[in-house]
Amino acid sequence: MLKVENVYAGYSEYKILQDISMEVPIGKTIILVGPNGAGKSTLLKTIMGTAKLTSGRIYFNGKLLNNKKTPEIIEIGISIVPEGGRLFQELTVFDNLRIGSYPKRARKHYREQMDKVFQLFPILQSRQKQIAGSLSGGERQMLAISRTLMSRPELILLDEPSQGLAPKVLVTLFGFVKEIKTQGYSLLMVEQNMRKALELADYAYLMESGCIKFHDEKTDFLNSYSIKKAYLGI
Amino acid sequence: MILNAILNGILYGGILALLAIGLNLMFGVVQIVHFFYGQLLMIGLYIIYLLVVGMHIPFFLACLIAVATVVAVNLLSHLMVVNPLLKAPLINQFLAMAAVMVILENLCLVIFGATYKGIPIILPILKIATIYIPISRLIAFVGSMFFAGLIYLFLKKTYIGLAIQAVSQDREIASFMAINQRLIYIITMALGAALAGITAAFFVPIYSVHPDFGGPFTVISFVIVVLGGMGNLPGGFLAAFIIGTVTMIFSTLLSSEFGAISAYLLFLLIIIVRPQGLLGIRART
Repeated sequence: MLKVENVYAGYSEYKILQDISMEVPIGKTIILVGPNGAGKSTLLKTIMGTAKLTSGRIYFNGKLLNNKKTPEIIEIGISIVPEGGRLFQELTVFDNLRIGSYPKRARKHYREQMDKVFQLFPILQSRQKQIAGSLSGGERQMLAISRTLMSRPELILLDEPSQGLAPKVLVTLFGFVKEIKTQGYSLLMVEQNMRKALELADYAYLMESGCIKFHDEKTDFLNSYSIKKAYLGI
Repeated sequence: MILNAILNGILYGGILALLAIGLNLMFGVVQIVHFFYGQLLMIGLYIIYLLVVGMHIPFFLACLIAVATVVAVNLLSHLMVVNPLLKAPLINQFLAMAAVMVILENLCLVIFGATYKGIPIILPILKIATIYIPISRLIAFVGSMFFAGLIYLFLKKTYIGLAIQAVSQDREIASFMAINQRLIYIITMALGAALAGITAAFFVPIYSVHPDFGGPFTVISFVIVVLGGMGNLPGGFLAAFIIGTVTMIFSTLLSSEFGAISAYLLFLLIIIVRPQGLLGIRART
């Protein structure tokens, strides 16, 4: 579904991503792990069009995405749950969801989508009229994910969804992500919390210093990773 | 007598409220300090004067044309001056806007001359017991409240309105909602200018225009916007009424100079104690 081929990208002349190639098959959950500053978020931003791609190609369902503007990329069917959720703090839960269906592909179906979201996360329905800034950490992540769902994406990017959440909430969070996964969405998730993320993954990539150091299917990844870490000191 | 002042103050505040909304929107969304906002108001008045007195065009049509002209002037400034400078140092933005202000004022001075220009529309004054209410101000108040209500519905109920709120709260994430930032800027600048043009229409029976007309209204609009909390529309609305009533009360009790002094003094007091304004939150990025 998503194919990244030999991509170099960054924010100015300084290229953060070096020759990145990876893919997200339809309906699969792919995770990107690695230390801070590895370029994981930059890859997500490059796909979304907010970081500049200087060389290489990104395809989505065969369509070339290179340096398309962000609104266009969302209309094509890719949406992101940004790092920290980044809700519109002064808007209500309801309005945050509604703005999620701003893309033309989502507008006509917004009631339908909202019903689905409320079925998945009933708490959001009861808190509809509440200001987003007053929600708890876990509820905010719930809302952030739901807002992204409102745009009816085919591929969902998640940028460190567990960041800033208490350990108890983490379990619920990954429960939400699992729920989304079973709904059939394709997911590309960047996570620091490797162990938890790997439970959900079909395939994993390890990134460091802007390169993909290692990648494998979930079951083999952890084993091979510990070995590589021992030998190569990653 | 105090009651009279308070009532007229509320009317005055309501009229200022619409102006403040225009400024607040542009401030919150495009994040510019719109120094020539009062001059847009002035241009609106001049255009109506020109069309009605100079060309005998019917009043309502003249108002429509004036609103369109003011919107055009602001959009032109947006494309030529504001937009190119959005990423420039703030001081550049300030000075560029101030330059546009000086240009607009002097253009009007050249075209229309320095004398006050007014349209002879005289409306009666309503007298209820000891209360005097000029009909012109009553109409302006009702009209302003009507348009304020329209803006409220627009912002809350339409997708574009919601997008405007989103961009003013978190520009970066708004683009992740497929919102076209450029388009929202243009719509907001048009809306802000339209509100100035509409206020000009209501000002016709109340004020005569001259090239220095804009300045005090820019200042008072800024004071209201900052007092209410920059970018905060309910705050600006509340602040407008406070400024309006305080001005009127002290104008009536003492003199119009003291009306102005009291209002600005109150503003200073509040802003020193509470820098974020009445309903403002701590500084946003």
